[in-house]
Amino acid sequence: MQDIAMISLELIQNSVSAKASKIDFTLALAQEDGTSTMIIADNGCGMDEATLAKVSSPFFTSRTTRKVGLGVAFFKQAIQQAAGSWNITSALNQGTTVNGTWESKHWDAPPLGNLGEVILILLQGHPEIHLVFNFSTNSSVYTFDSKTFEASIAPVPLSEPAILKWIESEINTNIQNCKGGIDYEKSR
Amino acid sequence: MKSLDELNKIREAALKKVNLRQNNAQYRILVGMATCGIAAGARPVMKTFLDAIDKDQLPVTLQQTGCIGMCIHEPIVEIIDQAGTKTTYLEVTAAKASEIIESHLKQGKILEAYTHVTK
Repeated sequence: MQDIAMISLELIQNSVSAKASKIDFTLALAQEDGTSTMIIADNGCGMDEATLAKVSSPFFTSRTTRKVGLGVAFFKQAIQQAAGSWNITSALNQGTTVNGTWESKHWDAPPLGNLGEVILILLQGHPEIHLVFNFSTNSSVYTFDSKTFEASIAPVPLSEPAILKWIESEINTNIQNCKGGIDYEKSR
Repeated sequence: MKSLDELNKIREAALKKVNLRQNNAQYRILVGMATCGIAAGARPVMKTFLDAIDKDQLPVTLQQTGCIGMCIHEPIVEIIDQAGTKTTYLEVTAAKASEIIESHLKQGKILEAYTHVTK
């Protein structure tokens, strides 16, 4: 669980378990202030304050709340080791937002990993979820909206293997083309 | 844009075969994609099935499932036939997945060896 792709996959799975119908995955790399930020926001079942307080503890992995478990702990570890800060806000029946910011050029800044694959896995398993993936660097922006995309290929379903493979390579190509994305990887 | 043309071609081709395949699904494949499965290497396994379904137009549906409590034997792949009989493959790798595709999905022969613990 070392790269951003795997960490975000874990957090996105949490959102899926929380019965979210919409997930916003935002990744802002190599911003001008020298930080990078990832935000995963969902409209799932959320958590009450008591649960939320426990989530912050690395030892909170009890079975009944397994939907949070290790994903948050790994996320916290990755962010903190790159001199970052993180937080979770949640409201019952409204959703949860996980937010982390770290130093882009920190020795231990997490590598990107295969982000296209994360989107592929989510859409393969849950094509009904409205995913908005927002990738930006200080000079470029790339957005992938699963519902807009689905409408453009209708009536072919999102879950069609050839379509999923195209999405994976399209997202990874666009990330490579975003000026600054490669710089982030190089500067580490 | 080149990749959009590519997408249109994929879409055209997919239109023809999607219904055909989904109405004749002979097997349902479940890949364990919980934390334990992913950590053990379920992602390449799932992509191997996805590639094969696309390439060979296999009459199967591919689904993801959670943790079934045998994390030590992940990645776990379950294949359910039309009669509802379930075959559980343990400790699957991308290479084993290719063999399962050739033998089980294409010829209907269950690979007994991979249904047991091997390590």
